[in-house]
Amino acid sequence: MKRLTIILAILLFSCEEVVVIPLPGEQNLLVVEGWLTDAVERQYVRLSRSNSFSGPTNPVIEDATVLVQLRNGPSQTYSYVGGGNYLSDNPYRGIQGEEYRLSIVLPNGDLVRSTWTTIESTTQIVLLSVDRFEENDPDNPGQTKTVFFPRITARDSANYQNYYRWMLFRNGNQLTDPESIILQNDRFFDGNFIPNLFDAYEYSIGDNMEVELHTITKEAFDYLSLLKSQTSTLSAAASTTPAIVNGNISNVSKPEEMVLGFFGTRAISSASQVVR
Amino acid sequence: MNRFRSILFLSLVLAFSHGNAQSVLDSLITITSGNHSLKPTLQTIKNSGIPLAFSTNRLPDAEVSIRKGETLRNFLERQHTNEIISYSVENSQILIKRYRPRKFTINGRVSDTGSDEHLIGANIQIKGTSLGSTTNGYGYFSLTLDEGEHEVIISHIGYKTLRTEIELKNNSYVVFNVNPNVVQLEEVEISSIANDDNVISNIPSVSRLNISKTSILTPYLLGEVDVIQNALLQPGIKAIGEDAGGIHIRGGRVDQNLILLDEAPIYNPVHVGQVSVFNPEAVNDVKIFKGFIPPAYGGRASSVIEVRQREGNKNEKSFSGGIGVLSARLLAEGPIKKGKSSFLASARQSLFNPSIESFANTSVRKERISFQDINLKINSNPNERNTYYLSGYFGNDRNAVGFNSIRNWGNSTMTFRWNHLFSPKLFSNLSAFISEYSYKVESEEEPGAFVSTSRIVDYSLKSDFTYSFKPNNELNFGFSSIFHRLKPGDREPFDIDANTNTIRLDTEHGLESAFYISQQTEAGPFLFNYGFRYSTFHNFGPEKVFVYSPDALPSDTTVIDTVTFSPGQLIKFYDNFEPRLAVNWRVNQNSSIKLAYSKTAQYLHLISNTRAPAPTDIWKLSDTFIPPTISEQYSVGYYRNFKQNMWESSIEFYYKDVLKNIAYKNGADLIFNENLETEVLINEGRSYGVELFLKKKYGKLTGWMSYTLSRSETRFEEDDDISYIVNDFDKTHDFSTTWALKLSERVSISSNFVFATGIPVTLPSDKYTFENNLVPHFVERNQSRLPDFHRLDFSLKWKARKFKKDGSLRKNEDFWVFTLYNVYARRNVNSYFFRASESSPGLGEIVQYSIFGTIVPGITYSFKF
Repeated sequence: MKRLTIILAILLFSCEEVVVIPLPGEQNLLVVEGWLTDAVERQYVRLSRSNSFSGPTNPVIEDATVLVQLRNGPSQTYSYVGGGNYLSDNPYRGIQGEEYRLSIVLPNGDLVRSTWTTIESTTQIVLLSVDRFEENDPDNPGQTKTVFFPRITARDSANYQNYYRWMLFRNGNQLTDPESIILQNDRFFDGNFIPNLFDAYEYSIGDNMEVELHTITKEAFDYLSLLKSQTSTLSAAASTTPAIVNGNISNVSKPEEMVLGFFGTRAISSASQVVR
Repeated sequence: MNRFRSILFLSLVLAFSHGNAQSVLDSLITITSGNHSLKPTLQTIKNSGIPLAFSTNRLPDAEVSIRKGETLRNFLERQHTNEIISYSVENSQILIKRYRPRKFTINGRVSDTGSDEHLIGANIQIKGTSLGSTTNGYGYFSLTLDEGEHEVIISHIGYKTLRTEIELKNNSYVVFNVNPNVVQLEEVEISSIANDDNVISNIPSVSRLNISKTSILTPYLLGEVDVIQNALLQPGIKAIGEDAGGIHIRGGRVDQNLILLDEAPIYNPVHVGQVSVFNPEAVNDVKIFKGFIPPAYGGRASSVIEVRQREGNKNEKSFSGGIGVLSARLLAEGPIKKGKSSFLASARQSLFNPSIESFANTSVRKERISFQDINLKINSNPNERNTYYLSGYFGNDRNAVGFNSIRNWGNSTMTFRWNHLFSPKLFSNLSAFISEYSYKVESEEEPGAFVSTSRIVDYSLKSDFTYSFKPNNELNFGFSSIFHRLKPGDREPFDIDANTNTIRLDTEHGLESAFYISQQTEAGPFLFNYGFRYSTFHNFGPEKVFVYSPDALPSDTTVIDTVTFSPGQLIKFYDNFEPRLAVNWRVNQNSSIKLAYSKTAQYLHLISNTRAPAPTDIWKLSDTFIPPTISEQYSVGYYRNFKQNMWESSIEFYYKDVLKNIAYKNGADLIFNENLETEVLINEGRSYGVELFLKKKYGKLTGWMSYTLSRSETRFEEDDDISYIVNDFDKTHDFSTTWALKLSERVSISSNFVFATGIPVTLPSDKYTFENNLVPHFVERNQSRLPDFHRLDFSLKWKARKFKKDGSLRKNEDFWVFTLYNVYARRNVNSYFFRASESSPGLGEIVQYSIFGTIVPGITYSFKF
């Protein structure tokens, strides 16, 4: 209902205005972002610091020691490559069913670690097909235009709680509008084909359409869900209450110091096609 | 005279042994007719074997006359009429006492002369005394008075005061018919009904909205009149924002108000935004109990909002209706059997659909919103002892997004009531109702097409009795039982091709029962209303209940077992003793001090983790994991009227403790969750404040001012050291004022002004990026506030001519209402949101969002014929 009201109001009378208001003092917390995939590649971790909401872009951390440990196995070391990013020195992949952990030693000597996280089994995209619909062209009144979008055939594995994330790319660029984090769990379709309708992601003739299906852990799903609710909802009556997005990273040396972000795993299946 | 004593002679036609004291009264006195002394006469009668009882020294030395051939009854009656002695028959004895007036009970109802509709809350006052009564929720009253003549004053807002004489010789049934007040302007008639009800009522903290035919509430947004909007102008009643439908009463949460429409609970009182489901055309009376909750009510922790539908004109058919930007409405009413029974039917249809479509930018993604509601009522008053009512409400909302996603929701209720007078002093009401709230979401989007539904259905039986001992002294008692059946969610494939699974969450069953008893009585200047309610709740099967590891908080991973309960098997039982007390100390004619205490228990909870509730939120019964919410409220107030009750004022203080509030974890997944208890947190809350109210009730200019200074806050129980956090809907200062001025017979204007402290807001201290998403980081909840909210509204009502050009009275009545909402076009901030700057990615920007950034005009046309 809130949505209705908002739409009613937005269409008729509402207004938005960028404002400057006093904010609470900044915390400068460590922010960790990292994913380990099941594809052989140079895996990445990004380290930065939060700063005042109204401040400049976030500072990055350049001089940390980063490694990812396989439980009862070898570790992979990462090196700084710029922009806050660290890449694994060698291409490698996460093995399905194994557990991994991220360890960081900060320039000040603090040890920061993620929890152990497993790599799930991949759910395969069987087929990518191109669907289309006609709609009124907002740029040319009276004209219609054809909008293309992907349809995916992929089957969920039965009797197992699966958590998914989709990523769509147009000519190699990730599509982030209307939303960049597309999540699904199989509660409503366990063992069935995974329902999907990406008609809000528009492609035109000649575009390279690429879709990735990531099978992620429940923890990653919960983290991304909370992150999404905190970044994408309009803060009207319908919105969720503001909350800290808790991840799976902690400062072992100083447990009282909060660390933001998440280190997760994803098993990726992808398909691509040129729209004709 | 003494000489007669010797020749007195008495004989009885009927021997005493043949009859009881009553029949003895009919025996003839054969004392020589003429004048005699009272005491010797009685003694002579007694000596002849008649069972008279009296004590000589308490009787007056009077002379009585005896008529030839009169019965003993006749003789005693005459002496009573002459105010010499009184008599009564008790235990086969005839007691003779010094004269004392006899008491009789008049009972009956107050009705509208034209339509014969029962009037609720009409005041019946005996002139020159403090004796009086008020008609109850069904229009009935009972008043026990001395025999003889009395001048009775019947008053009701929107009606001419009726002064009439009654001569009371025995118990009698009376219908007082009052005429609508057409002269006085009733634009903003709200609050107390009786002239001095503010001072004399022994139920403190009641806000009353009277929506009679002759009064029109302050028009609100787009020219619509609305119950909820008007309630929000009363002290202690708030909404979180202009788009939020839920109301918060004295710091309570939106699910803590018991909203009754003809006794049946309404689970979602709004259609869209703050447009309530109560069609103003069909509503008669709205009462909001904010503090003291009479023991007859219970089941919610914060307040009771009682809405009564109109009954329908018993004497003539009429139609009324109107059309505005938002909706069109039509009402028909009339007699079924003239003077005995009537019907009322009304319907309302939203109209703003077209405006949305024209604004929608493409044909594909437009959103269509509509609502309807239907109110029906039939009542029959076959004789003075019995009245029957059958009433129903059916509401529906529909919201279609794009081609293929439709949401429908609505309340439906059906109530049957039977009012019966067992005796002049004993009134009873029996109600049976069914109430349902359901929603349905249909998504045809292939291949995940689904239909999901959720519903709550209540079946209830309730009985109330009122026994009136004497004026200002009555006993109320009764019971109620509600069987709740909740289907939290079924989700099915839309058709055979859909790739979704069927999910059916267990249906929940609960039986909520209560017994109550209370007395209203007076002692000197004190009026008391005290009693208790004993409520019980049974949660029973069939249901599957998870068992969690005792060492850990309930979560998906700590389930150790599942227990299956069979149909009817008790899962969990709760009971609560809920004392209630109100004391009114009438300091003098114009002022009183009222104290009140109420404890209430709530066994049903709204599951919602957004700032304001959504129509697709579900309700949940208390169960093994979710305890009932308990609230205790203390209040004290001073009430004073001025200038013959033209002005009324009050100041009230309240403090409320709420234990075992239900809250949710951050990011809680509440949709189709079969173990909701894993997402629930229990907290405790408190609220306190002071409310000031000043109102002018009569004259060309009428209106009121209301101011509330309050605080409402919660904390988690397990953290005793942790301080309270202010609630999302808290507003420190809340001021509203409404005035209406009658300019001429045909034109009147009214205006509202509201001011409130901005609601709490959580501001981010930091920002960071995760996968190029800018994420705000919040530290402390609700530590700041939005800017203050203020708004001015203006409306003009223009009535069409009453007379035709030839001077004859027009049969039809009609009027136009023009409104301006947010006259000075203030951009009141509804919320902030925090997002990445589009122009410079990586930087954050704070955007203030206003629902109404401009002046909003509105117009409605209303008619009656």
